[in-house]
Amino acid sequence: MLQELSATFFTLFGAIGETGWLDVALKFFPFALVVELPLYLLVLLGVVRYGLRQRQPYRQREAYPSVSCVITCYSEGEDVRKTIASLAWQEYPGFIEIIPIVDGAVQNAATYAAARRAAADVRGVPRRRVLVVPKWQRGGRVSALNTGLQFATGEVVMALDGDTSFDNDMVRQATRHFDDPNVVGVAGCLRVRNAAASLAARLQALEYLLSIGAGKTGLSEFNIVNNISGAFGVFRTAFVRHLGGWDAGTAEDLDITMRIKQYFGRHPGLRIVFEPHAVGHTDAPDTFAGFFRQRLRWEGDLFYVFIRKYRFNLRPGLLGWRNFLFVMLTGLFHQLVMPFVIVVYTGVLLWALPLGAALGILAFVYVFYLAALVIYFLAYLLSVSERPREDAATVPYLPLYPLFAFAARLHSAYAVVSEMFLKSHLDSSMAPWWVLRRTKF
Amino acid sequence: MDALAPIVPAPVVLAPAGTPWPANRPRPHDALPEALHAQPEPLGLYLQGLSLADAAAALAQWRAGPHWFRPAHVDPGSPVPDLADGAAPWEEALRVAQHADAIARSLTLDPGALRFDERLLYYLYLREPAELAPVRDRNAKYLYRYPIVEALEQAQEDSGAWLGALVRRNLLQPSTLVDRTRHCRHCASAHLHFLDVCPHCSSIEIHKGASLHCFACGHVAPEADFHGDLGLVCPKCNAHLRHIGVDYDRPLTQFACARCHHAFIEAAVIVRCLDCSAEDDPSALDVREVSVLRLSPHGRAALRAGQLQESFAVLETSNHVVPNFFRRMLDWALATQGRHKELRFGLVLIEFLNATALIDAQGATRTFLMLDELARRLRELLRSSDLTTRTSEQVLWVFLPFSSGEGFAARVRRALDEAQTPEGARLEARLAWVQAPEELQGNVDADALMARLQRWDTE
Repeated sequence: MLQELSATFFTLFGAIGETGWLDVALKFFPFALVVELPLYLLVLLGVVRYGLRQRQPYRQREAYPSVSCVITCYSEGEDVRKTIASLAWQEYPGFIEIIPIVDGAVQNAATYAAARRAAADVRGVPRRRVLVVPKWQRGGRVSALNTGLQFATGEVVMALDGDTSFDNDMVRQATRHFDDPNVVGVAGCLRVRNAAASLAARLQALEYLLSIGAGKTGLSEFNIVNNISGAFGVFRTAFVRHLGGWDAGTAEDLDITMRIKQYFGRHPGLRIVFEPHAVGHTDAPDTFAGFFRQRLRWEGDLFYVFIRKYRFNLRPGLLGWRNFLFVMLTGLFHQLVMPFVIVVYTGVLLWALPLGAALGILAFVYVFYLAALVIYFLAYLLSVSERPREDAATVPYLPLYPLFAFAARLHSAYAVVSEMFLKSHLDSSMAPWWVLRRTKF
Repeated sequence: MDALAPIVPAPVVLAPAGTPWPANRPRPHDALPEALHAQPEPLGLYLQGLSLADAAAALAQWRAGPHWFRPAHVDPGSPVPDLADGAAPWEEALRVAQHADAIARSLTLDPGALRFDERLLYYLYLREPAELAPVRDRNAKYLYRYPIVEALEQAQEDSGAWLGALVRRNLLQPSTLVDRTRHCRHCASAHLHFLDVCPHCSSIEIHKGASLHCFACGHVAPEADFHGDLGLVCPKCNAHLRHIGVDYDRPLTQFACARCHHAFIEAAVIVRCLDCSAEDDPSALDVREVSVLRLSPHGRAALRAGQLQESFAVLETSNHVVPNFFRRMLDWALATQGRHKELRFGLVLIEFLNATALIDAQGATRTFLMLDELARRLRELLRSSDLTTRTSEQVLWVFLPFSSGEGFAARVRRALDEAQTPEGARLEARLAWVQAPEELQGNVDADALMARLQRWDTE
């Protein structure tokens, strides 16, 4: 078998020399070439463009808008204090209002107490205010965000997670884009705070770095940011109020991103920007089981939002052609269809070919992806990363990453099926069941 | 019967006319002047069967009269007024009165010539281990008063400040903490009230209201926004909200300010003084502790030694030594210096010139508060290695190893200048100093050196 494996592997390499890599690639992973390669090249191009743009001279800020940070808290406990402190001690000359909303403050008395202690610590700090809001009745993330919106007085509102803390220049970096009146949302960059906890956390840190740090930087250059993360979203308050706040159901982050984008067709100037240097640090699940559980929800939510909720809204007239094509390509095809293609392809491979040969082909694909990954990673390191030294330390984990990503892709096929037939979005930790069952989708 | 004045001294008895009395007791009277006329040297006062108001009036008279320090009791079963020593049967009252009299005789003090602070200590000393209990009084400016202290006041003395000074001078000490009171920073009144106001504009027009959460669309808004013609209707998605917990919930209540429309969860609290109308933050109030007070060992000793007259006891700091030891120390330093010139020291004399005059002019309270303040500053100026002593009531000596007498004197001068009453009355003092070995000629001993300083007019 090993012989077969190495024979197939080297034959494929030999073939590149004889017939050119395009032929080989078309033969063995045509879908990758058609869908993924253009996407990766687009992102790569964006990353390079971002890097070149960074060389432009520094521009003086026009304004430091007042900021309301709505922090949705649940059972984070003492971690909430870290979040509040990291916002209170921002290096920012403007006013920052911090609004921790404790959802289900009766059950989460410890979190509520921690938030109040943090508020007491901040009392008297100039240009900072903490307003701890106990939501006695648990109603889920969306209700917490909308409650926060009720109290928010800032020109900019941030939707943040209670277990996410922020670099001290986050507000400055995130708000500078609002100098441009067309910018309605800024997606912040998330890093994994507990990367050292386990291999699972380490690989997720790498994933955040590649898909958020690098991926969204590239997409932002073309105004096609796929999602403003729920743990770290920044919005123009007036625009969110205009939208009517956050909408019920799970995946409120993808939902609001989509609803903002639905103005893009009519107002082509509007922009959602990703700011890689506005950095938040969040906790990722530190076991693979936890990771897959979380992904089950996330991947299922894609189906929920794109198909169940907005299938009739995916029109170029609403989204604009650019975002329409992008959503079709990535949201629908890449995220929802491709996992099945990969499952089928791998299945057929294993069924039709001897095991050794199949593994040989997979090994070859692996090398191909690894090579692409290295290029991608280097581009990120050189032009985007604000912590290049730290990020470089994750290089030893790069060879594991394609396997991790492969497993995640297989799993997302399962997640989509589960959402399709079991409506798993109705069983989410984001809101209690008695609230979710009342939603319209 | 009037001729039967008791041979043994006993308390005078006041009782309503017609009250029977046993033969072994002095005859009761119905008014104090009359009783004192019949029995000019009573050991105490015994009130039998008087109403609370009559008893209180008689006691006020008693405490203001020449026998103020002597015990006063009521018969068991009568209400006990503030100024009484308690309720007791006649035998017990007699015993206590005799005991107090014995203690008073053992002291060499003349109760008629005592100042207010001394009267208070004297009063406590006769009743050891008696304590001064504060009484809560809604009409009192500070909420608590010490009735006895007020009764012992003669002129318009500020008993609050006095008690503070006595505790600071360690003549009285707190025993049980009774309460903690908060006082206006401007007028010290404890009559305050607390108001919740809008944290944004400080308006008191704030209202509490609930918010509703529509499950169908996730909208959260004040309840008033949901009231439609058909009952509760979500203003965002028009869903008809029929059943709490199924269609909607009430997740929180919040305040709204009617003036600035600010929404908030916790109202700010301000405090307003009922006496001077000043407004303040509650954390800015003065906090005072109200305690039961008792005579301290120091106060007891001072009273026994008759040293209370010594107005400058407050200047006895922790560096204080008796004069003999001070002289011995100075001798030792001078002798050592004979061989080791590096042992430098300064000797400073502080002689208060007008303290007695000040007490006459300004009243004892102010003078002592001033001295208190001076003592506090002096303690700050002294190093732990310095020594002080007093050779007479108004002469204070300071021995300063390895430091300059001149510099110290200058600082004392500054402290003296700052310690003055609002009217500008000042404590005058003469300062003299010598620096050893620089300013010494030949062999001198402590006595000679100190005598020389007292003769010198350095200033």
